[in-house]
Amino acid sequence: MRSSQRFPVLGSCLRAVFFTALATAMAWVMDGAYSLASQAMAYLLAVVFSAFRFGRRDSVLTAAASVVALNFFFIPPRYTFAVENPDYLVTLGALLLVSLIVSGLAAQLKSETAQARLRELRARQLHALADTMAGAVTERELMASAADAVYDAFGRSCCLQTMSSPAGEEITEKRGNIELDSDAVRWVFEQRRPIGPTTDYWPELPIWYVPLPGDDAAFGVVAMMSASDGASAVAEELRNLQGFARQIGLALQRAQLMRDARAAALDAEAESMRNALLASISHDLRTPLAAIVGSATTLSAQYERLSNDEQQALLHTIEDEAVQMAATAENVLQLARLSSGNGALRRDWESLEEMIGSVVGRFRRRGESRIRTAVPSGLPLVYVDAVLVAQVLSNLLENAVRHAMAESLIDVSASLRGDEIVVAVEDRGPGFRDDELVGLFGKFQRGPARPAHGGVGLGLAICKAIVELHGGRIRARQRDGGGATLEFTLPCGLNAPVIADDAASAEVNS
Amino acid sequence: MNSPVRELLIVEDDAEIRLFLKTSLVADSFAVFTATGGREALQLSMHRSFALIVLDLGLPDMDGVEVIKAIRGRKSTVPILILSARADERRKIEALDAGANDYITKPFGIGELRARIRVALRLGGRVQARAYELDSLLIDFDRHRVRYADREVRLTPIEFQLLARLAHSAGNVVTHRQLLTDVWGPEYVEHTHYLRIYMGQLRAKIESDPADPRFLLTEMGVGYRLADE
Repeated sequence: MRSSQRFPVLGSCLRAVFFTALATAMAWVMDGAYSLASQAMAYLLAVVFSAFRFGRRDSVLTAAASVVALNFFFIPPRYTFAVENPDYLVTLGALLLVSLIVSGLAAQLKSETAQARLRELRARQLHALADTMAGAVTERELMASAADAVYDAFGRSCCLQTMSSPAGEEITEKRGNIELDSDAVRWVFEQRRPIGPTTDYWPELPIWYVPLPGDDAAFGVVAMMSASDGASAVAEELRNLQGFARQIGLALQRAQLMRDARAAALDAEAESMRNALLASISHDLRTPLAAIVGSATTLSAQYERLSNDEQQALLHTIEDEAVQMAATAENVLQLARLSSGNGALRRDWESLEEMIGSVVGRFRRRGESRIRTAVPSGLPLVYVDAVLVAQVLSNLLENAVRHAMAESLIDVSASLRGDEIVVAVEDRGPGFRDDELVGLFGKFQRGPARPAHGGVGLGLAICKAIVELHGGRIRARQRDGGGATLEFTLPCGLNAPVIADDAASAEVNS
Repeated sequence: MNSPVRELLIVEDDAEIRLFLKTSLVADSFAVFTATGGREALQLSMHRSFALIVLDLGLPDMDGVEVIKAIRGRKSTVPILILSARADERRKIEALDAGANDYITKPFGIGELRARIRVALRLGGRVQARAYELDSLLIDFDRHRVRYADREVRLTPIEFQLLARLAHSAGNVVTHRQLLTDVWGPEYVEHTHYLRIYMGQLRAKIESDPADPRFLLTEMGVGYRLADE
């Protein structure tokens, strides 16, 4: 059947002639030894066979050809179409009638079997559809996998489309060659009824439009080129398509619910982050502010009664606390920059030696002389946002300066470990308790056991955000021999640029 | 030109900062003029020849960078010192590339400001120096020789040019773009990693602790500065 698909009628005719010839040959062999009725049976056999094997059209054609052949070859007068005896007319008539009845029954059985098989296939495909859609996370992925599934299952051009609504965006997934009528799509979407062949609306259309049902409204429409076989098979395919549409609608509904739930969870988290952040910022600003206002008012109210040393001490407090506030303001600014997204990273190939040198220099100018650096020469460059990484270093150092014991050293080091650079800031101070280490960077925390001086919380949370944006990790631990170690990593690919010394110096030669 | 009292112009819209700058600089025996906006500053600088202009980048009436361009457009070489907020590297670079001599980040201490003003005045009134000397580092521009810790330092031609370029503006920041243009050529302005690598090599030769430099200072995100005091 498949080989003659392009000319189905011609194929049927050829087969009818072939089977009739076969039956004629059999009857020829029987000729003389058996009765005409037995010879007719040979033809009947051919009709029944072609009915089961090839369906109604073939069997009817074979029946007709058989009657003609029996008459021509075997019914006297032979080799004419004349019929000598009216008895033979009965034989011919019976052959024709029985042939047609058998072929009808056989063809019906065949098509029922085919439909049952198709139903089973569709049921399996529907099941597969549910499976693929379960793997999709976003509605877009879901629509794409659904379109693939429909196209694979039915083998016809199709198009899935969701409508934009407050609940979702417009998604169109087209497979094969199909042109949708936007009016038809809108009608189906609004009326939530299918249109196309064997439906109550516009059955003359070549395309089915079936709504993707949701609880209150349709999500969209699935359209597919319709089948053109017998009416019952077409109706059956429409039902199958509707089954697919229901399944897709359910999946869309589930995806929407999940998205809503996720958004709600994110909102709640963002809200609590905002609150913690605001609390942290206001603490970090208010603490030094209190010291400044207190010192300044003391100076202005009691200037004459204070000793020179006392005046100097108060002035220093004002200066130190103001620097503290500036650091907090800096962190808030960086935070704003970070929350504007990844695009805010201004990466370049940077040298850790320089970043460390620049930050340590800033602390030195403030009069901090306890910092000691250890950076091996020849570290590869890292591809980072220098200002942000400097902010991390600055926050870690700020932290160490605040907690290190008076005469102890603060060590800043960088080293290459595998394909990343580890930067560590270590102090000799109270260090961390084990329970403090947990979630130190996660929330806006302050070390409770440490000398009262705000700022740790916001600073470390920003460090974590910056380091992770660069694909690194940050952690805190007890330092061997007492104190705190805060270290972070920065990935350094092996593709860091280097310059061949000679080549570069040859370019400009003075 | 060198009147006994040198005149400074402070362009700053914030009254408190204006007051503290004026108080401190008058105490340093400068004659201090103030302007609250760019237009006023341009008008004042048209009629007087200031020894230095301290310019806030965030002015209410016009962009600070435009003020710099206008002043440089008059062929004036008056040293310009910018006041800027920290998280604003791009604007600093723009201003420096437009012709400002140096910047100072708010909040700043008066000590830092006075140091910058000293450098700017010295560079502004100086003929091209023939040598740079600070602590144990000596750069002889004419003979292309560098001595550090009483030893001759061997530099590649590029290293020397880089160091010499910084030394000619000693104490002032030099932007990445200016360094790349002057040492390698204008087509190299994007190659900032050249600077990282060569500065690393230079530090290895003339710094006792390259990660805590005495001479070759990094201005993060902006450029480099050779210390001069």
